[in-house]
Amino acid sequence: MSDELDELEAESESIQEAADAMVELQQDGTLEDLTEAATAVSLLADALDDEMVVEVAGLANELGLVAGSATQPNTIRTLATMMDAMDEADTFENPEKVGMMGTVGKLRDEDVQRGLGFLMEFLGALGRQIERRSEGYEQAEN
Amino acid sequence: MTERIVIVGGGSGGTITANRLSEELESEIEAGKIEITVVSANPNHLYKPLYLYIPLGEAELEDTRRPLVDLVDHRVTLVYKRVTEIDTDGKSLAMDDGSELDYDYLVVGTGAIPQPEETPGLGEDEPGHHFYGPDASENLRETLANFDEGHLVLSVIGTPHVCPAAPVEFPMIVEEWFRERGVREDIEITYTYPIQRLHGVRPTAEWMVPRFEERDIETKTFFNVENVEDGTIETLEGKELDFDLMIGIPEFTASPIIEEAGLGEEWMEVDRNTLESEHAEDVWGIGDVTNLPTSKAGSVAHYASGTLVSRIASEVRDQVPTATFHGKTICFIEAGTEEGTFIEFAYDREPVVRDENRFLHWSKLGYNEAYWLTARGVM
Repeated sequence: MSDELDELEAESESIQEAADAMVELQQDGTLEDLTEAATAVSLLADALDDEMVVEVAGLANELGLVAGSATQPNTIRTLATMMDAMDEADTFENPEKVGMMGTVGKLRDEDVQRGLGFLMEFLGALGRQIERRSEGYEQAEN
Repeated sequence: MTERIVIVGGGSGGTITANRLSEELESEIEAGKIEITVVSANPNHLYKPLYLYIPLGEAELEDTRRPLVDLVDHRVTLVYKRVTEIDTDGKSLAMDDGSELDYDYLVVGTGAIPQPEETPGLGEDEPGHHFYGPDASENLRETLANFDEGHLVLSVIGTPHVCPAAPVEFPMIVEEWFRERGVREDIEITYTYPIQRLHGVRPTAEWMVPRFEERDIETKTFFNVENVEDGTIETLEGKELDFDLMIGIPEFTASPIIEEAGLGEEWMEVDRNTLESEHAEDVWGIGDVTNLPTSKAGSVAHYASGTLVSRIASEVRDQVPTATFHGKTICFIEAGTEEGTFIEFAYDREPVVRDENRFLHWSKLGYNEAYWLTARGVM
């Protein structure tokens, strides 16, 4: 009994601090919010099982890996530029029909030339990345 | 002139460091001032903590690996070769195909290698099993599936070993697994540890005592395995223990190139705060290969990589490096198949082990799935 009292006394400061924090939470209404939120956590605990956790985490992993690449600064700029271009072109519903001669004519347009330049750079980079991945996959399978 | 950072090893330390460095030094790479190369004999990146789950049929080998090229930033050059020699005076690496690779800055992350052949009772033609490799884990799965009576002994033989929680987790998981299979009453489980308590980390040892008692897992301490023969383990202390199935935690060593390069006698010797080699200029160590005074766990490599990247970036930019590492370590501990906990500590912070619960068990399962984000440097 004496040991328990000693232990209680040693912890008295911690107990007082915990009680003060609880009173503060109760007075400002946070405790009520937390109590209500706790029932949602309880629901989650009852509803979840190992398989659900593994499935969701696996999906988050794959999305995260894509997001990790998609959020590189250059990639973001490129994607944003392409989306702006889609908005500006605004010809999805009724695009102009362009044949061989029309294409040659369009190629005189400096904006088209700049866009083509981008596509050529992109194709070069795509080729290099395909080569890099192919080598990596081939090595990994051996 | 382009300076070259070479990272040896495609494990957690090497991969995370490569990805974070390529982010940090993006403008230097684009300007052609820096190039980053990872040299890895293994073209796959391995998530080794999953080996623990293979014997219980909870994971497959294919879950444990992904091609390195899928995880390493596209700005990093990958070289699929084995480094056979590090010349820190000439700042050059020799490869297994006879080629050489010069470096300006070198990061060594070659890991800790299990040595079952050097461990009493383990290795080919020996009776003991372990779960620190793909083949070993699969062999143990087959053995466990057919084990429905007798004495299972899990013996921690090698210290330090990687993934320090694994020997704690395995008896508790397998105990529950036997109960679920309805064979627990016919199986006796014993856990042994070389020093006079159940684990090197004292709070973990204290946490284990009541839990092992509740689960009727026998324990033996000050138990240093010397010889295993005819179903009996003999110890340096003169004790004997009979078994029907022995699972051992093997010895681990650094790659021999570390000692040959003069980077350390047992493990790579680095400053515990700066991760710089104590024996060579412009050389750093990351992960299990180092002699850092903490556990050999992936989380150490993860947290240390932040310091490493900052210091190397400072060197590249001719700034004074100021980032320091203070030993932050986190390990999950599964307490059976339905609950888990974790332990967190640092050089100057004592570990605390909380009571186990379902959410922490799910956190571990979730992290096992999402680990690849850590390797990619995202999380």
